[in-house]
Amino acid sequence: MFRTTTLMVALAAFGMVALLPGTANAQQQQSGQEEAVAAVSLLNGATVTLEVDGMTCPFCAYGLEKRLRKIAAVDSVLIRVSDGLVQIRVKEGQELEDEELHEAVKRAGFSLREITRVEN
Amino acid sequence: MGRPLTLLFVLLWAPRLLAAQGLPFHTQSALTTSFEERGLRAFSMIQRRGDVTAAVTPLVFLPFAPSHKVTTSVVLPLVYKRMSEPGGGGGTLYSNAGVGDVTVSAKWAFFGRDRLGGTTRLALIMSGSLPTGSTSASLKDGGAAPRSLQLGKGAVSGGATLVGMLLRGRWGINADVGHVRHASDDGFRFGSVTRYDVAIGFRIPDYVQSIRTRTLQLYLEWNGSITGRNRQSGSDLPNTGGHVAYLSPGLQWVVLPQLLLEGSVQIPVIQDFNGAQPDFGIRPAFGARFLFF
Repeated sequence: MFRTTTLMVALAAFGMVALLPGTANAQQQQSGQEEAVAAVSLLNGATVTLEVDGMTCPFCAYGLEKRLRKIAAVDSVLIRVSDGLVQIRVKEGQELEDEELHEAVKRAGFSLREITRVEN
Repeated sequence: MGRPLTLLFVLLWAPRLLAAQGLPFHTQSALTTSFEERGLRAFSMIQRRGDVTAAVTPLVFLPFAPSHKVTTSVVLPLVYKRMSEPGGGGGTLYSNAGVGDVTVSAKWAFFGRDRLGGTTRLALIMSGSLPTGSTSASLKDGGAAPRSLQLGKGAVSGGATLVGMLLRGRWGINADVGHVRHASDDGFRFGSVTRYDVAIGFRIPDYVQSIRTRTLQLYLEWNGSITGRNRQSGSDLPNTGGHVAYLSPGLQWVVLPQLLLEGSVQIPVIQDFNGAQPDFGIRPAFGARFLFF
């Protein structure tokens, strides 16, 4: 009896949680991306924004941050998982090469779609 | 009645704290990204079947990733097995603890297609186990303990598993199917095992701000295995092998960017055994994953 009850509770809980309404659809996600890219231009210092595909959870994306931080020219990294964006602040007077970024994203197991640079 | 209602309440509302898709507990993942290399996973599973209680704590080391498509792992299982006297007398006929058979495996992600907020991946896992677990333990009366109670299988084994993953926005499906065969040890061979798993992940809510967002992840798995009969001196042993499948709800809590805590309860829903064998009980499991790099 307890096993049946437990089974029914597990199925009911998962089903009801799955039916809870979401808060964003594809249009909202695209809008969020555009806002994030625009916000980069307001930051001081040179910044690079990466559009990265394949990021699906924070735990998955942590390794990408670690790899980017190892690049000498990188000052700070902010990953916005749901928007698929990585915002990098470049150290003053240093250059961040596209090849380094492609390699870091590839080694982290994701795909780099686009690089956007905003100079100081 | 109060306990199931409380559990239902927690399951409904706890994930609203913020959640994202994570790795399934029992189902393989086709990902070979950061947490799959230079990490440590430890979890414990407690199994009761008839008069036998077994607890297995596999320590999973992820030591090396030759490329972003290939990772390796070493599993060191810490095993405890105990058999009580029949009829619930309270006495112990057998008790043993130690290291089981070490397993080494390599995962090759041979297909991957990423998109914004999603990915499709396929991977192949090849594995092999070495007979490092003890096979000479005895019952308390001095007689030889049966093979199923020993810490190891006494022979090498090898297997392959095909893994698939489809993640789209809030939804994710992981699935695997694999087969393991065992070599013989002194005329005895454990039955081969075909395993199949499906895990459904669901992210609530669907917007995750940053990698430092503490997330609670909810998932539901179906874990099944079909085991062939054991063989002794060329003949099948009648009361061995069969088909068992579990429904496994679970959750994961990402406490720190490199630390994840997880728990699962496996509820047996199919128990189709050959001959006369006791049923499996509910199997709780809990553990943690830690990245160090």
